[in-house]
Amino acid sequence: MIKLDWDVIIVGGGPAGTTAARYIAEKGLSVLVLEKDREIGLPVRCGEGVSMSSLEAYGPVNPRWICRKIHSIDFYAPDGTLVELNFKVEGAILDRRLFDRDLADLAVQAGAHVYTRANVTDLILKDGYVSGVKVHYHKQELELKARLVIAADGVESRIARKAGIKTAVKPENMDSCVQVTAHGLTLNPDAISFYMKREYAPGGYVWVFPKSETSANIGLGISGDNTYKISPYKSLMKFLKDTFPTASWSGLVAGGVPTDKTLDHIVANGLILVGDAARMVNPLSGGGIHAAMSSGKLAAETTVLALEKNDVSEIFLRHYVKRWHEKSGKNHEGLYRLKEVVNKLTDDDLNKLGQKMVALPIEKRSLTKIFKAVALNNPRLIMDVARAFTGI
Amino acid sequence: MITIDHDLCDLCGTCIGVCPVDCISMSESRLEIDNSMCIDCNFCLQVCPMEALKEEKDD
Ligand SMILES: Cc1cc2nc3c(=O)[nH]c(=O)nc-3n(C[C@H](O)[C@H](O)[C@H](O)COP(=O)(O)OP(=O)(O)OC[C@H]3O[C@@H](n4cnc5c(N)ncnc54)[C@H](O)[C@@H]3O)c2cc1C
Repeated sequence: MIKLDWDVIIVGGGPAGTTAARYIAEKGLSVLVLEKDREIGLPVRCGEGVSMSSLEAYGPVNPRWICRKIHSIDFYAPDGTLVELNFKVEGAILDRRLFDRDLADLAVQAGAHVYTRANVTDLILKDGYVSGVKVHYHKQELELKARLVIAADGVESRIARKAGIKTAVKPENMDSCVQVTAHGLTLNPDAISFYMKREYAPGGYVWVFPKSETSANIGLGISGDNTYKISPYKSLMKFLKDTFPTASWSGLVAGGVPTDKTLDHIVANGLILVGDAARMVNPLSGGGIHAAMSSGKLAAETTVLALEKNDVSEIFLRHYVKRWHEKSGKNHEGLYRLKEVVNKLTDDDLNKLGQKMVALPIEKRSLTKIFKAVALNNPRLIMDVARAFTGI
Repeated sequence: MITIDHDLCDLCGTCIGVCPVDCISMSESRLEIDNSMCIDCNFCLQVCPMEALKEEKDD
């Protein structure tokens, strides 16, 4: 018999949804996570790069999640010049299949329930409040009631639209990505690499994130206003042929990264949006695992308070909005502006920048230095860089 | 109208993330487009990483 009445229903079993579920269930509330796919964690549409500190903020880090520890970043300018940067923080390449699954298990151990192959098709609205969801589960169309719903449905972000929130992003703010896991590589297994050549990834970049000493996630993203120049799939095939001609690969996946500002509306009566669904990905790097977990935890804290007070009005839930903006919001907007600057750089600009950076000793290279050099070399971008930094 | 090549579609949902009228839906195994709601903005075609979406001219 399926329980029809819950304190909290969470749509989506990615890191945002399961992190929220864990912290809400810990407080003794009844929580149900609904995930449309058969298995949590699959397919892996992700480069799997993350900083260690962002993992450590959400409980003990299980060593089995970590494929490689990362200590530096290698940037390849379009002309091939290698610019190495020291990582101030330790990075990691995850096994997201295990990671996502374990996050769901942690939520279940805390008392949450997780249903897979449960496709949420609509919200139930009552008196201006979200009061539950409609879900297709085991050949049934079920109506499940909840005191509060969390939309953690990732890049699609359809569920919040049913409550009138506009979540669609413009094509220029959607990176269209493909990735493979390549083997038989000769690479620096302690560094993540970015290739900045516009020919391969206009409005984005190519990433090589090592999973072992000889294998890596290799992928690229092209902003949606640039895909007419070259399709992501064809471009990745060309990059592999040009750069790693002897590599073999498996696990081709497609995916979208919303590199937009956070939505203006991330709460409504009875509804909270988290992670990719709220458009919280770091717009410069495209990394969204950290924001997913961070917003999941913040949403959980506000949810617990709201249900204690029996007030899930949009006004009360603004507590969450405020805390997100205090924690990450401002930084996020600055990164969005930096993305816009980077996207305006031509291959020529990037080559000059590369030359400037390699002339500096490695300990003197930093992102701030890079953007200062961008401003000095590119009078047309001075205002953009200034705006980006004053926003941070 | 927009047609889907289901052999190429990877079910990544990127198209849904840009659809301004919410006329694309997806289950675990299939993407669907409600062409009666489609406004021909072609954003979905633009962002599809696999070139699985095509525009077919209506007569
Ligand atoms: C190619 C690629 C590479 C990336 N590389 C990195 C990286 O290296 N580092 C990094 O930090 N980030 C990376 N990202 C971004 C990162 O993957 C996301 O930001 C992160 O997964 C967001 O977590 P989430 O929980 O918000 O959403 P997701 O992990 O996308 O989870 C959402 C879940 O909701 C489910 N769902 C959707 N709709 C419904 C519905 N109606 N009913 C039920 N379930 C539903 C989906 O099936 C999905 O499982 C990458 C993304 C892509 C596409």
